[in-house]
Amino acid sequence: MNTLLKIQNISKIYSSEKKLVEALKGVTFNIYEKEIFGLLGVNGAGKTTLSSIIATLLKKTAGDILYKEKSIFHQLISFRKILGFCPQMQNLDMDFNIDESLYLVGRYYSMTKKEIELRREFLLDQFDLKRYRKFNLHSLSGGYRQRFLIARSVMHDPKIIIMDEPTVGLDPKLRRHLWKFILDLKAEGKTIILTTHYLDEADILSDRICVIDQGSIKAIDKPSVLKQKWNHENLEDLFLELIKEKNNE
Amino acid sequence: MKNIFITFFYLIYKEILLFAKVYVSKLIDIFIIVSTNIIIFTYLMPSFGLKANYGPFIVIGLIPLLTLFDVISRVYSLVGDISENKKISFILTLPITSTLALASIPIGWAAASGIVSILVFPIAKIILYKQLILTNFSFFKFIVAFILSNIMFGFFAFWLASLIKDEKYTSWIWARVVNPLFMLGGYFYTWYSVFDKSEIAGYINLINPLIYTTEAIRASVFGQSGYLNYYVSISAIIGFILIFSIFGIRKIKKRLDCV
Repeated sequence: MNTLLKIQNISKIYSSEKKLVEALKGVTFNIYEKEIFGLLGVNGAGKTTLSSIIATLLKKTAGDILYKEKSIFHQLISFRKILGFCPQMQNLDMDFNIDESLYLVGRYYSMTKKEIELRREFLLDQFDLKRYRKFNLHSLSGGYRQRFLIARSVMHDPKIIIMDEPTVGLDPKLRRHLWKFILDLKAEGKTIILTTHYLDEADILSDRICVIDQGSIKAIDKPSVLKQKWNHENLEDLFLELIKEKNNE
Repeated sequence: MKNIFITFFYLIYKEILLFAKVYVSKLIDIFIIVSTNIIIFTYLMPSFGLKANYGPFIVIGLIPLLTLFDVISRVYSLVGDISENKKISFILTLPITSTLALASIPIGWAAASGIVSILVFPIAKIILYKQLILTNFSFFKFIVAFILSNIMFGFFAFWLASLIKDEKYTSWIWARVVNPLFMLGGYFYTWYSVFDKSEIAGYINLINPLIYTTEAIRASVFGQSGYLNYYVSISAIIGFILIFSIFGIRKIKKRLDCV
């Protein structure tokens, strides 16, 4: 597999009220082309910090991320063009309706009106949002907003998609639908970085998973390899053991 | 490069679109503000000894002032967004530098507020008719002063937002910032009237960025006589734009810890 992103020794230290918190401690790994890479960890493990740094949203303290052997921070604009980011928090302009919002997103990425039209119709179909297209976002339920958030992140047809806990708050039916959508994206040749709390989700979707705890990588490999290596039948037992071992150190 | 400007343009356009949703309501606000100012300062205050041309003087001073009031009201939502909602984080992942993405916010505010505050002029002309004399009116000077004033207020509000940690600390804005700026910003008087009373007070008054906007706009409408030199005012406004934009963007970037 071809390496798409090289995450090299990434550290992140937050400073708040004269206290320093080390959220990431020199994290190093590669992300391959056309894979679904699952980032697993408990709350505060550093998953969102790491995905935000890869999304060029947050400053790193040390280390680098290479795309085509060049730091993404030195090719910020071209890297952002091929990146779609679905954050954990619904950072939406609630006064716009779905149609307006997707139109604006398309324009932000310099898409033509024709391209916007086609892509928007496709996504509205995919996420079953057509009948709500003229609804303001504030009038939609949390689940529909989440659908929209995901649709927004792929509006410009990005090559790399970062999804930070995309299925939180979704009903089981929609969750399954989104899994299919993620697998379709992979089949289209996209690379997906998926942050999740749901271990079944990570197990089913991810080609490789990375267990992160207290800012360090605990394990990284294919789910089947990890389960075999640690002699567990399911990912949940493996995850709990990795976290327990770390906490006992 | 072209694509960066397209993104930048549409980020500004987004603010205008948002504003368009409340445009009618804003239009009603403007009509009420302008008409009450005209009634008080043109028809009532002369009976207390004020000159009859004080009404037009006040109404033209309203143009920059209304932009200031409008953009200040946006400080609250930005402060709330930075500390809680993080809507701002979306624009920081777009294919544009973070500096330009952030700069689009105050420029968008300025553009949106400008669409309404510019209406003061025709409304005032309709109501005052012959009392608003435009023989010395320079359209070019007016547009330059108007656009730059709006941008300055946009960045001023943005800089203010960058200083406020939390929404609960925003209550002091009107009392400690807007009120002194407004009262000492040349809305009720010309800079020369202060300078004639006390040179020191006149020089101190030059610290207030609002004074340059009211003086520049009135100079472009009523002519240069009696007002601060138009080009000096414009230069000062540009200087303030640079100061507020540099410090505001730098501070917000630091707070958001963005690339």
